[in-house]
Amino acid sequence: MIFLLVCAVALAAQLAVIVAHRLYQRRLDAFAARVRGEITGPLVDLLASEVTASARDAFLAHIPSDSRARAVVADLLLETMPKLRGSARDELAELFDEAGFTAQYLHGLSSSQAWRRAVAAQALGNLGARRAAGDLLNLLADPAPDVRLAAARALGKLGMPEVIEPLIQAYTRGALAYGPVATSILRIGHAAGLPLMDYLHHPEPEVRALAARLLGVLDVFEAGPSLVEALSDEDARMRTAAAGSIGRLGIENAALPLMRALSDDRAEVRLAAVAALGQGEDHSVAGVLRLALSDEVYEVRRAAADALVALGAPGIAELIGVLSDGEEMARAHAVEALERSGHADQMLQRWLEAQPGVPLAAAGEFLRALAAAGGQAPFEAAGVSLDGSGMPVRRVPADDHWPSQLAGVAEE
Amino acid sequence: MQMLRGLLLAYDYAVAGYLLLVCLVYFVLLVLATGEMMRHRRWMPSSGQDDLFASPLAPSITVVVSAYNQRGSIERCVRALLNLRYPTYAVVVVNDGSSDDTLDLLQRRFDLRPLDAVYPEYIPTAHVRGIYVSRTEPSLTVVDKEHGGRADALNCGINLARADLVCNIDASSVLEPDALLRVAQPFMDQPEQVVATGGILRIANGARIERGSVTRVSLPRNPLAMFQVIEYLRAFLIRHASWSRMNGLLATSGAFGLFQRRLVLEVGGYHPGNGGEDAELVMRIHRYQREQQRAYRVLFVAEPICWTEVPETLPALSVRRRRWQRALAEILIAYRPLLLRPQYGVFGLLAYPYYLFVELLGPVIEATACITIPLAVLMSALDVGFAVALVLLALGYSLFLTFSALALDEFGYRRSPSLRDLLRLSLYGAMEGLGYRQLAVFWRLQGLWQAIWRGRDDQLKMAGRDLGAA
Repeated sequence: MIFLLVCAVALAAQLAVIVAHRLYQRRLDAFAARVRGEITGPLVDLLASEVTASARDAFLAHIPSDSRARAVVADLLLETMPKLRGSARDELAELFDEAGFTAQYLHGLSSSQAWRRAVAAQALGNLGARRAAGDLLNLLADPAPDVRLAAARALGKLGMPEVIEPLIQAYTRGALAYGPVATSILRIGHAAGLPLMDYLHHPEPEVRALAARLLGVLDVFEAGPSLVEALSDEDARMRTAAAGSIGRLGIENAALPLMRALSDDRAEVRLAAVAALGQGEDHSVAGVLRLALSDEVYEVRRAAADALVALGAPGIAELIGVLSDGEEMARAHAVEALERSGHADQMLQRWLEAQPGVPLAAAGEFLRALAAAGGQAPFEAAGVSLDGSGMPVRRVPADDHWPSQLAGVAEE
Repeated sequence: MQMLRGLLLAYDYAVAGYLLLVCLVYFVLLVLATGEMMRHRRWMPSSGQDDLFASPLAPSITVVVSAYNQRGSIERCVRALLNLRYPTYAVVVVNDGSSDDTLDLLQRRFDLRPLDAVYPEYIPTAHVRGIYVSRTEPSLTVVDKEHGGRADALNCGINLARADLVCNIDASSVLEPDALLRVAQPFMDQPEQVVATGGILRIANGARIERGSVTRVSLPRNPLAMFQVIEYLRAFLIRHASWSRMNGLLATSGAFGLFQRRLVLEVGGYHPGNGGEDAELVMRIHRYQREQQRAYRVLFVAEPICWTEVPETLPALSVRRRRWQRALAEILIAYRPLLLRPQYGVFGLLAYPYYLFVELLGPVIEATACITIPLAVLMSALDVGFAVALVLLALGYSLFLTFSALALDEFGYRRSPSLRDLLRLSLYGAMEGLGYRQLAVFWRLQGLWQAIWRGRDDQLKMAGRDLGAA
């Protein structure tokens, strides 16, 4: 009986704790709203006009001394910081520093609790506190993976190319994964470009591939020749990344090496090369892309069709050519690409407008070619009824298996 | 008679032992779930979701929606998906041979035009009748196929997906705008390890949904839906959170899961013909990754929210519960070689036995105890006080877990509505043991019965396919 009574009391207490927490939280929320309300006005005034010494002093005078209220203000400033650019951001960071918040977070980096170290790292990153770089670099060797992650993110936000080497080292020793390292380096911005070029010759292939990919994303045109050279790298990840970046950068004179990459034995390289050719300005590649419509891998064929569309008139011409004399699978991809891009509808419309007296049922080579390939949508768009059956959907044989062909891409 | 009394007494003591063991197991799970909640609460400020949103390296996602006779909810679901906050994603809606006007509705609302597309059939599916793209929403593709079931529809979407990750979602669900960002974050942070993640499901009955977004959160008025709110809270905040921490999660949330597309294709996609496709797929992924000796993680992420509607009538709820239990039984039977095999790590040694002895056989013990305990008391084989204490312990512990789930929600996630609603939830938690729980046990028993006696052929087929896929 006593046991049951104890249990009942325990359950009631449990419920009481939940309710009490809700009531306490309400008070906290009201308190935070009040503090935010008090500081938001002066903050807006400060950021809206030129920051003078007196305006700074006036703002600093509004910062409360109570630790709970200071925490609310710190949160507000940290939320505001990423939304600001240029001098306003620097001004706010200085104010944050003067109010003693930066020192507080720097102290937090050596906390015994991992989550406090991570929160401090995150805050210092948002503040762009470059003087914290050394401490943040030390955190790349922190035993807690999430702290390393937060430190990497923060280092990226400092915008210092000097942190690239430690980040790469953390990546090669497995302390950080590809995603966080790559994102952090990207956050550094264009200043990371030239230092990254050195890593195109790094002994570790995953580092070379990382550098090649980031150089493309960062628009480092100076890396063009090195990336073209990297198309013949021994590692498929590097070749793939190089092809992707060449396409993104639109490197001139890269068409020939990219066309050679279309015969690479790895599907992911061919896929990246096809996409890169479609992004380029060289229209002479249309014929080669047309050949890629017969690649053994579905994804490469589809990318080739998309690339031909992206090339514009020469690519469209090749796709139309495929309709009349290509093999069945290439024709199917051509039809899909023309329809997906809207070109099929446009061309048919134009053709019909140009031939007003021609009966629709005998609408020339273009229509017949599309009909042979099973394309129905252009006919529907023109109000031409065929047999009324459902859309013909072609199936790719099951042995054309993507994952086994592209295992390397996902590994990256 | 003496022998019968002895047997009853022995069985009831065994039930008491089982109950204590289950209480202990749940206590451990609760401790782990609390740890996970604390972790979430502390680490949330440094989770870096805005970084992911801004990153050109964010993994691409194809969201696959399976829709079968969903004319009532499909537009709302698709609109919510088209408004997600994520840098690179596409939506593929698979109309699984609906007999209502789901497809017509989609065609009208999203201005679809047919596309003579090539369909890469990496995973065999029922016949695809047509593929459509939207003139107004470039990221939307709709597939019309013959009816093949939810698994078949998801496989169809996975075949057409081109992204790194595939997210499955039911047409009756609505995702919160940041849901994809949050559920994809682990793939960015630990790309070599994380193979699947799942978010939390919350019940949309009672909430106001406008143009694909939940604009007001409140609890349902229907008592059955209220009981399910409590069940979902317990399931996700205690069971999913704790097993995720141990990497022994059996299922991502059925209506909202994110998977590496490459891996899903490698293991052969969803298995049709089984009500628990998601759990079966996750089980297969566990086995496959362990057999390949690859480090991997299947994670539950508590913050991304998927709003879903639950049945509000007894017949509809009973069908769902029977299906779940039947699916669980079929999966556990098909994957019985994993049981207590050290090769399968935490999953084989802890998670599988838990699902077998607690989740699958629990209703059997509970139902038989409902008969044997009163019988033993009537036959004076069992002390009345002991019997009452046993029953109260079972009900009280269940209530303790309910309050614990509410506490986890309150302290960690703060998603429960008003204080009044919190008290309503507590009240329903207290009333759960007075009829609803017994009904649920009855339905689960029925599901188990169906799995054992009616589903033998299915199990054999499933096991055969499974071996083939491996």
